[in-house]
Amino acid sequence: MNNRLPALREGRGESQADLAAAVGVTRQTINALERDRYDPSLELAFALADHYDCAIEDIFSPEA
Amino acid sequence: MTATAHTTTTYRRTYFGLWAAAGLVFALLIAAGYPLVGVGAFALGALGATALQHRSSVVMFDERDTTVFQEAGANTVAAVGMSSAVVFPTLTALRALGVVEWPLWLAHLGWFVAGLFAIWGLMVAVARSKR
Repeated sequence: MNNRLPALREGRGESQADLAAAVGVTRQTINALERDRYDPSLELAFALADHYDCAIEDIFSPEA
Repeated sequence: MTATAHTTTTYRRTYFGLWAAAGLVFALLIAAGYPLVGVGAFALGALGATALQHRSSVVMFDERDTTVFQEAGANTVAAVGMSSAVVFPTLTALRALGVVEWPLWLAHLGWFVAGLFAIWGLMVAVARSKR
């Protein structure tokens, strides 16, 4: 799955740890998401979308 | 690496270290002839690890850890199942042919594996009933 997480996070000047704390996961999970090594649960995807005030598909998209 | 990441890693290491130490001390005290002290030491270590997990202010384990543990568990069950499906029938045949002896510990291991898969089957049924 492709994602725009690094761009969104860096756009807000957040560290991976900041984002992890905001959505209740470990920094390692944010790192794995950004490196496309882990697909989030729906719950986490919604939390990330809520954090960035956008829709899930604005962050994640299926592999082309 | 940030302070938060350090904290998470430190807490995780402490958690697994407590379980490992509890198990090691348990085994050493039993070997030394103090089984009850060993049980007490293990209980203390287990209690400490559990308290650490529940009282820590940082996220020690999250959904990705759950996924990792589930995959590791599934792979473990598959590995034990596949090796058992080869080893036990082979040894049974060899024993029937008089080639090898069937040691008592292997019989115990066979019952353990049978019990393990009985529990696994029960857990599958329970999980399926919830979906």
